[in-house]
Amino acid sequence: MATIRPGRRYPLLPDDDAVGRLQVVRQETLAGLSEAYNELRNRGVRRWVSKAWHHDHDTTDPVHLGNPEIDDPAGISRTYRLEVPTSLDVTELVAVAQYQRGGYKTSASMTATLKDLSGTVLDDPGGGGAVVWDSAVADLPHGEYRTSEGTLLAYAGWPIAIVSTGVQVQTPSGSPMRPRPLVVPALNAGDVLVIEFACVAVRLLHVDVFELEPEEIAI
Amino acid sequence: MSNTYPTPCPWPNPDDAAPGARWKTEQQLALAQNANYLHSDYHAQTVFQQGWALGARWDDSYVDVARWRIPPLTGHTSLELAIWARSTTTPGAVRFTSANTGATRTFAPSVAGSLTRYSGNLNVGTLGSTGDVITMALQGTGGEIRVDDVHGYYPFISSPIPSGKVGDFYPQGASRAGADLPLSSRRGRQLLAGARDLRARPRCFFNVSGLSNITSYAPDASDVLPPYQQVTCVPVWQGALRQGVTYTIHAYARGVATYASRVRLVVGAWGQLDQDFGAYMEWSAGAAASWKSATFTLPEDLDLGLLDRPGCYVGVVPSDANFGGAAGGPRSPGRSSAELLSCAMWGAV
Repeated sequence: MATIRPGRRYPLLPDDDAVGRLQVVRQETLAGLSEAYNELRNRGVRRWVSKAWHHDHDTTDPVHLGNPEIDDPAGISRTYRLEVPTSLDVTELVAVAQYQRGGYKTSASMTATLKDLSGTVLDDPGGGGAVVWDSAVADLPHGEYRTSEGTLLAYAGWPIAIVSTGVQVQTPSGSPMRPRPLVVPALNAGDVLVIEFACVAVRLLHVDVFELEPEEIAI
Repeated sequence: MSNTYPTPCPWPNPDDAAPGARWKTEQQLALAQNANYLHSDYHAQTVFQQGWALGARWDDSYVDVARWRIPPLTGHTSLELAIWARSTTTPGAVRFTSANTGATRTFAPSVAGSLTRYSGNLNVGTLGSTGDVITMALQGTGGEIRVDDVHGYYPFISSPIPSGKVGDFYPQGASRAGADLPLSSRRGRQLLAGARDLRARPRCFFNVSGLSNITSYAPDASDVLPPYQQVTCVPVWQGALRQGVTYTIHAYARGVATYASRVRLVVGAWGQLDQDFGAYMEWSAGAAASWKSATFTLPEDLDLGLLDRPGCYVGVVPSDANFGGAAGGPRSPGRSSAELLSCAMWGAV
């Protein structure tokens, strides 16, 4: 059985001479074409969705534009949604979220749930249901301001922080990872799906969602 | 087969073309079906998606409020649009227009309804390498129209795909890949050309727009993008940036009154977006808003460690012409009053 292992570069295509007029198309050319199409497919049909949310901001002062001079997210509870038009090859979705969190003494959480367009929850409950980040277990950190040299700055604002689902669904022993990618049922591959982020004391700024590339595809 | 692909689509097995192996009809078929599938689906995905926490709101006749520059996609002439919106008091409307075709798609959210999803397609036609500009206009006379989310994407083409050459891609039908047909040099050339065509199709890294013309009703709206790093910078997905690949940035911006403004590409670790590949666009002082484009190619000898590092980002930021100056310190992306109204980045990754 052959396997496909995603590479870092584009697949090398067979040379034009290998398919020249009146040439016999050799087996290595066939293998090269097959590998090229497989590699293009493995990379090219995987979805990558990027979404930004804009929030009100109260300054146009250029000195402060680099820092979000907006309200403390502590008092905000809001649900954000992101659509993913999935590919026919999708299995799992990885999310990377940029956010601002309320003050250090404020409890905060973010819960990601995968749904279809009718609102039905899709993510496998056996895998743990929705993906949760919670300040109570320290997986929703505060951000930091640093200079370009890396020096930590003291600033009374709400710096941007980043969390992700990670890329591993289960631990080696088979229990769900926390957090973990969202699992797409095979029946829903190719559908437009919705990821809802229910946020408490968290202001969501930007989310990138990728379809996970398997490390190896058996064919 | 007739320009078809099944679901799930089989993968051709290169091992069946190893020395001593027999290249079977089923592999011939799998290669053809894979080519058809890729033509349908390769980079057929989101080209813009954006949300406004307080909604894009308006209470008067049609005004253009947002714009997105979208890439071309060979063989795809229809863009699928979806919004989450509602209107109050009187029916409002949300209208999208393609600059390339002049075609429009209008949604009329129901009166006093809750936030609801509306979707439909927009004919963008056959696009050149510079793509198309999609404009969103709102109409809320006598009440309020409110849009919270916008999504535009190329849908995949259902099987069978249309016959006839598109770009350099040849659909693989019965006359090319049927049983007992040899793999002729002609078909080999076509498969090679098809792979190159696919490889050249751009994928959208990000695409964001400010909100214009509605501040009289929604004072929190701004036509200028908030120059926070998160809006126009995205984390580098493994394999998203490749050596030797050319990327394109499109920016719709205007010059500020007192000095020339630049929008430039940055790549690097979070908070240290200072890797400069020389891609920037410049607007002279006081210049009206216009689109400009720039390309950059990652050098073949680029240290891939830079791109694989956790927390590495790519994006564009406004700055003054010296990438620093009075508005911010040296290498302080985002600390400038350069006025960026919309920007997009594509790459044939």
